[in-house]
Amino acid sequence: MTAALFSPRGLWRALTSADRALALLLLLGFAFVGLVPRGGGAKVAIVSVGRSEVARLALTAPGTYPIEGRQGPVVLEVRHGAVRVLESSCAHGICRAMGEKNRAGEILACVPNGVLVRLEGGAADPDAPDSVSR
Amino acid sequence: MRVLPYFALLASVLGCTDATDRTNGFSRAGNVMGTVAELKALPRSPGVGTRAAAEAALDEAFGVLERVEERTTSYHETSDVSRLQRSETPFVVSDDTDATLRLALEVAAATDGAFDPTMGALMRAWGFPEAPAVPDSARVRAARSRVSADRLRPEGDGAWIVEPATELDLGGIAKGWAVDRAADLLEKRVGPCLVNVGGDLAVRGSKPGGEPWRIGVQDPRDPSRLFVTLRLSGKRAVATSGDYQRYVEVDGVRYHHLLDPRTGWPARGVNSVTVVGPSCAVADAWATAVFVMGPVAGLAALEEQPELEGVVVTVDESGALVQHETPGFAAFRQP
Repeated sequence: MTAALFSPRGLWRALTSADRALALLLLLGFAFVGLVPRGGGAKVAIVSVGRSEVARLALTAPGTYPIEGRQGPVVLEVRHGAVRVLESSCAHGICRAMGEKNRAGEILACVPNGVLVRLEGGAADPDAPDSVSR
Repeated sequence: MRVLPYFALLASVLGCTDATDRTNGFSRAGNVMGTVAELKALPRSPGVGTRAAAEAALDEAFGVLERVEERTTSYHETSDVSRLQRSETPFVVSDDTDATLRLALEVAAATDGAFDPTMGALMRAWGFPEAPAVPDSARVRAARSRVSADRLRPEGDGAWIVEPATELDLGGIAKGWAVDRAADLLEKRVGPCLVNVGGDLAVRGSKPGGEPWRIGVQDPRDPSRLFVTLRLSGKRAVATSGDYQRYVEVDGVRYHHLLDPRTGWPARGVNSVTVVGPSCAVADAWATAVFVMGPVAGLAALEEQPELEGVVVTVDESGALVQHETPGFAAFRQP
């Protein structure tokens, strides 16, 4: 009997109706995960000034969001499921040059203003590097 | 018998979930040392109390970064560096500062002064980091006269002395030292880890299944692109010096922060340098030195260092990146 379980036909026969229903549900679930595009699609941008969290921005809610930094305002823009620094009071605009971010784990920062934006949620991009040297 | 297939399926689902947790690990980001720090740690043995232990270790690792900054910065009057500069007699510094100063002098000697820890007067003349502006030649010459690694000397037992009017600047090595110490702590307390402070980073160990850490290196002309991805595991560090990090542009000419100690003016002929080695502090200092020395002399000097590999990036007339690398650098490139 045990040996019969290790053939597909034998395994199926060993299952009760409830087992079969559960197995089908699990298989459908795995298939769904496989069909969902992998990578990208962070869900929320967590904004901190210094060590204090000041805002959570849903990346599904387009708009501009002014954040009061240490030196002045930093304006974040959410659009097309991504976030970027639109305007900042800092001298060099390195934060603005970072462009749009939309993947979980990505970061935007305006260091002079102490503003840090970290993206979370959604599926991690399997092709993305673990970190960047710059 | 009837429950066996059910548990077989359930076990497979749970196994996938467990592997995912070990891959993701724990991470923390924050502002420190005037830049952004990202720390990631993968628990060596997941189990009860893993999250609490990992979070505590990440807190301590951030504390290490802050401690090194407090000791080695020139911007706080109470730091080791500031007090050393003011002292007219040999001054005993902390172990972090002592080790950083020793490493700095070693790299200065190995690079014939292309890396120099006494650049403070020149950096201030140029207004780096906060408000860069092009100074006049007389001011550059005056500041340049106060720069030389010979003005800094160890006196034994952690004591150092600097000549009057010398301004230390450990920005090109202290960050790397802090990264190394934070990575050591996380590896000991949690497991394989990655510490990135402002683009200078260190890894320890590897990801589950022996998978190396994947490290991208920024294109010096496009911050949204990477020009290479490296595969690193074990005890490895990467540091990059680039002309895009801090600069001022006047009449279309970029004046960046990587000043040549020998002239007092920004080094020319290179756009970025990336160095790989076991120590982030050493990689950090050598990236600066190679940038100053240029692609030919810099790579030649790097090739003489058995533990270091690197790539020098220049931009040709058409705007295309040209990469000049040491022979062993290719081994780190992701195919």
